[in-house]
Amino acid sequence: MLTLRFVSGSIEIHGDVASAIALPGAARDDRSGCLRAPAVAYAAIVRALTRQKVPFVDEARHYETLALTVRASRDPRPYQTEALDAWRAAQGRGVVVLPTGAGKSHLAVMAISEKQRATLVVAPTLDLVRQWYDLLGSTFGQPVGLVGGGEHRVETLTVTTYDSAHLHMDHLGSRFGFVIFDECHHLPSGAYAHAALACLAPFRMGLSATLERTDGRDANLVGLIGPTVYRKEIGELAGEYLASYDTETIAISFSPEERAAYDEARGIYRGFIQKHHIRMGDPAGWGTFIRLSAGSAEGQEAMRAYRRQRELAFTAPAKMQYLSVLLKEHRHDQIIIFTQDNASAYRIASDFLLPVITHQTKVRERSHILKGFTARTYGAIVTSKVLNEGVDVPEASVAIIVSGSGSVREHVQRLGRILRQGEGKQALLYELVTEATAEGYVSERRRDHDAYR
Amino acid sequence: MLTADLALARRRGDRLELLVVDKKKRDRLVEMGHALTDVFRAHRGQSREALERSYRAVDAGPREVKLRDGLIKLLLDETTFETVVDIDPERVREVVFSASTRAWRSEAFDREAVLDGAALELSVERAHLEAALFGDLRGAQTIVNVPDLSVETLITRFIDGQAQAVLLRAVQIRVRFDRLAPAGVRELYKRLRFLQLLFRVDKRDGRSYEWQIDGPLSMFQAGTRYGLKLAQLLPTLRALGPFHLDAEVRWGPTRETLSFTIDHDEPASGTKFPPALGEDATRLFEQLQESDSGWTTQLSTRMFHFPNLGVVAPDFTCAHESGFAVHVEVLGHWSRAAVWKRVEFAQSGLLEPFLFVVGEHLRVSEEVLAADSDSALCAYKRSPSVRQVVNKLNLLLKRAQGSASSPT
Repeated sequence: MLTLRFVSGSIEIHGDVASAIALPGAARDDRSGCLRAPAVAYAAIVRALTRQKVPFVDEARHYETLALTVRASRDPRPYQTEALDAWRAAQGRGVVVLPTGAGKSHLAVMAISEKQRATLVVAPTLDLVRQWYDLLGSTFGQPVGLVGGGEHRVETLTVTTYDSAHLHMDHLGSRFGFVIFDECHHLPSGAYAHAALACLAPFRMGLSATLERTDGRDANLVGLIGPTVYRKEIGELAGEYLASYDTETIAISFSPEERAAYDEARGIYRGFIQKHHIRMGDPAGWGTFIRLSAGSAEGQEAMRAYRRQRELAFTAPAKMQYLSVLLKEHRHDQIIIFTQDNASAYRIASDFLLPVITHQTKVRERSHILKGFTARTYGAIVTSKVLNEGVDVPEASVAIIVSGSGSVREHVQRLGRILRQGEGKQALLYELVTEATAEGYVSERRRDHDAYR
Repeated sequence: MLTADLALARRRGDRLELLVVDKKKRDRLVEMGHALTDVFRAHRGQSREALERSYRAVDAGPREVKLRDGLIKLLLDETTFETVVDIDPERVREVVFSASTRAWRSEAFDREAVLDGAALELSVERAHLEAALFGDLRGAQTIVNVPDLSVETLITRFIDGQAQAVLLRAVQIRVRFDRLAPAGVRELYKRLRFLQLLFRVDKRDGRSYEWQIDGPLSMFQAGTRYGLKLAQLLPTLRALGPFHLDAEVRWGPTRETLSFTIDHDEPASGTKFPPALGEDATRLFEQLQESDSGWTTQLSTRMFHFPNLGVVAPDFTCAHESGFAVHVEVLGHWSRAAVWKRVEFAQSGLLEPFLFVVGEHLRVSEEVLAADSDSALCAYKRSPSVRQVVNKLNLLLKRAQGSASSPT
């Protein structure tokens, strides 16, 4: 008789393993005198043993079948029903791609309700974790566990961050039959992928609005979660299911003094990277620059110049003045202001006395600010990157990108913050770009998406 | 702990080597150590931001940045920061931002007026209000405790920490001990279990054994997932005795596969290698040597590894004049689970004759090993007695000779 056990993120198969059939993902482990497979292979192993009528004792699975009832149900939109059908047809393993605001979390709730298994939701930020925590609690009316942000309470419905999932899956990986990876494009990065490998959950769902990664590792999601089973783009849902929107790019000019200071700093920085043949467009370019700049006085000067030219472009005085104009113009709208770094976010918050959310903002205060924004006690929020993803701010109708990266994903995510449908809502996205600086090129790169055409 | 990027290492072919800290480097470490410990002490009560500005200003040449940053990391590990403000910053922000929103909506935003109004509402000085507005940010935290480390200790930690920093990028290590004492084997086994690492033990030349150590999923993914645990194991290895370690590491921006070696022959500073036997085992060993029992005793150098069950390292071997030998392991008060594991070994029939000497409070009866077993348990109350042990040895001898009789 074979025995399956979950040990540190893997499945150990004990017993007469010499005569055991070939089991998917399993290999002989001489260290422990058993067969071993990554926990992700659990469902395939159980299916193989059952199909071939090999008797076994399952000591690996430690999750419960639930009897959840939905306390607040609402009719699914047609595309949500289609997505659930497609996921079910793929044996409950797959990725669903829907634009921000299209109701991905409602789809997840439908799947949890259908499968009735202990479920773990993995989300990238504490804001999203808090949002899932509230959603699951109010939908199913039972205690929800929380792992991360200083808490460690495991329940049959539990929410965690990618960081905590990576740290704790070695011992939590047997306790859930269903795992949902929200914003699942984060999962294929080296460390986070372990969270999917070390979890035995037979049912898996990935959710994302922006699946493709520049490093191409989104292809790894097939092994970690399952194939992409359903997909809809912003253009297919805008107007009917998402708010209509406009985007506007505002060119900002330097004063002659600022231009001279920018050109000087930029010249020093560019001179260094050209001399050392560093291609900043390459994935390893930034790391090479950091390494080489630390190794010489010239390099350290180049690093200072890089920071200076960036700061000048990000917070050019004319940009701040134009931001003030937009704040006045949209004084009755709900505005989110995005920056590339925390320093710029705090500078804007301090100059214009606006609430700010960064990774340094504690969960309780984030929650207070977001509630104040919903209640219109606050009319604008400044943030760097933490509100890029998933966080539900349905009242927001104006987004102002003061600075950002060249990432298409980031730009689409930022646009997504203002697309939640509302009666007569017309969303507006402004992008402030300092003229004739690297920002122009960065802006062009990030707008390379259907949503901006 | 130093991070991998702070290791003074260079690639040589397919090997990674630590740079030697020569006199010149050591002198610079001493200079920078003095400067940095002074900076940290001088900033007690000041902000983290001010401390950061000051320690970055400590002079370091282009090739000395890692030395300086390594010392800073070790000092920061032992520095305590706290948020110290008179007024609750969250409350200040709530009042200021609510007032500001009203001002923006009425087209009358005036920063100075908003701050004056908020100070009035909270009955605080305007300067205190502004200090508290973002007074809880990381950079504004106050230093409440700085490390009380001598420069010499700091530099020793920096040098000792180099190899550990490299092991953070290790995929797998192989450690060869030429003579690891039984007490050391048990210590290592306990630590490996605690860190949830797996191992395989192979006998090498003479008395040496090689432990190949990695994690459960290493056989599927050759990544640095277990690097932190392997690095955490190093202090235990250093405390156990001389060893040779080969590691496979993923190094540099491209995570290139390189090999890395540690040869350790000195106890970690301020410590001694542990004695060969534990206290109870030493006493029993000496008493057996002095007794006229017909058994001679010799310290053991054997090790038995049973996949999925663990490692047994007998403390000593008792040999009868007939040539029959029994391995003795004094488990004392170690753990009940460990005793049950040994019962499993014995029941599996894979062992040479063993006598496991265990404390009675572990609640494992001597009878759990069947009367026809090649091995036996000897339970004692306070300390193991020679008489009890010799009786058990004689019992095993009789069984082996095919004339088993009940214990006396």
